[in-house]
Amino acid sequence: MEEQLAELAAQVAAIEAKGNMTNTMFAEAYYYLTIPLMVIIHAGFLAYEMGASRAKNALSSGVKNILAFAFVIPAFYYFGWWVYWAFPTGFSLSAGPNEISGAGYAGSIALAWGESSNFMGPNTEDQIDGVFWGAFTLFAATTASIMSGAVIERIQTVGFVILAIILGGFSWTLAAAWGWHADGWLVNNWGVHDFGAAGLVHAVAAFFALGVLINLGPRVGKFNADGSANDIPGHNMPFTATGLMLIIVGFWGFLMACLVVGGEAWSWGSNYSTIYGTPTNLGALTFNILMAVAGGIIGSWVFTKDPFWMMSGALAGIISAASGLDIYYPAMSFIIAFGAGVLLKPCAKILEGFGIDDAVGAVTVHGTIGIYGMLMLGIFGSGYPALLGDDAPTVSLMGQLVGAVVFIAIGLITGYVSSLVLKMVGMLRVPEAAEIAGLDAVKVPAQAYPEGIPASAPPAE
Amino acid sequence: MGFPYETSSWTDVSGPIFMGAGTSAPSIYAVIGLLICIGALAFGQAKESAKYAKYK
Repeated sequence: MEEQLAELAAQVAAIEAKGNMTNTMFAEAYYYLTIPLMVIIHAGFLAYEMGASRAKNALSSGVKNILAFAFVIPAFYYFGWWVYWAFPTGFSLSAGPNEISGAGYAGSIALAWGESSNFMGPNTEDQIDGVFWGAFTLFAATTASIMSGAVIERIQTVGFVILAIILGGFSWTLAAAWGWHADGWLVNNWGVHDFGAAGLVHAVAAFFALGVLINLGPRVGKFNADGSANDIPGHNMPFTATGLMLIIVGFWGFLMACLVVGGEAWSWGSNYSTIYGTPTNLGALTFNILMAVAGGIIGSWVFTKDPFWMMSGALAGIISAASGLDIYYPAMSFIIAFGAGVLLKPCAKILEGFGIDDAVGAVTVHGTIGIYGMLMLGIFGSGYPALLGDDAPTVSLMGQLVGAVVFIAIGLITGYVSSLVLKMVGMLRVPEAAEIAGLDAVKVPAQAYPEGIPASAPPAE
Repeated sequence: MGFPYETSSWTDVSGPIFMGAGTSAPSIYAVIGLLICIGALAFGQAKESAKYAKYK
């Protein structure tokens, strides 16, 4: 009898070990798969920006975008990941209540040198840090791409790359440490809830871009002497609209990566949760993302009938609902996203009225709507616990407002100051004659359309 | 560089398996990678400035 019991116990232990390993492999594969999905965001931004540029700047816009992607990756490897784990409690770099933050903790897991390097490379005992780091790196690269579209056709390439490194490696990461991390002071003190990063990714990147735009100035010919604005259409609207659709595809991966998979030592529980440990699942996201996409498109279509704004409306719809994708009722997402779609173009025009030349409406789509989304959750989600556990801080309009102001400040201040320094050393804007000639002819050893865009051959009989 | 464990087999190996694990090599590689990034930006800026000089 005892032998049989021992054998049974061994079998149960073996089954449990296999189950645990399956869960670990699932969790690893889950985040791994979000990464190529998020790369699609960059395919989308690439197409979007090149299409929104005039033909004479199509390739230089593409080069800039590709380089931002390439440089943000090592920047996030070398210091961005450390920033996320070091700064949650503020600039003191001290450990937070969960003791998974502060300079000491960050230095033990998130640096590419010393003992910490064991977690920053292949390790048979660590099946999560690589894919977590990868997903966060793609978040970082997304912020750079958001800024990238706003500044096309007149920014210097290396100057832009330096800005992308600062935004992707530091600015948004600081916001994420404060407003996303379980030890984040905005989360613990103010109950900030920004599940899908409407504020801490979109708004931070957009207000960073605004800070840059203030120093960069408008494109030649954008504004007339009386202050009125001219429309500067891109050379390929179908490319732009398709790019926007690709961005939306990629955001499924982005939002998927905002979930925490259950059942692991680092999980909040046995099931999916938000990054705050509060309950959610992929079904919640599916309901709300799809309804938000629809609301955003319809809201934009009602007043613009323009495919550029309709597709921007789809993106704005997702962003407007992103903070509360975990808890909105789908019809609420639709309504909030519809509002975002309606607001979009008028807000872009208001920005233009201040003499800001945001070539693709990034500040409005990601910034204004990101903040709108955070505040909508403050209105509708007030009273929801913002963290797992007893006596958790709760979501409130005041908390969301504080979070929004902090995110705006992080983006605007770091973007303005860093671009001002680049301007002072002559690394921000291209010479006017180069801008008029077209940046492809100035610095790209390739031609976007060597044969023009010829009519295709007639169909066979 | 060599295999970082005192065995010639993968059997019973667990932990970091990348080249140079447990030595100062990862730090050296990290610094070299960082210098490559900085050097690429400096080189790119020099070339870009030369292109713009024709348009000033």
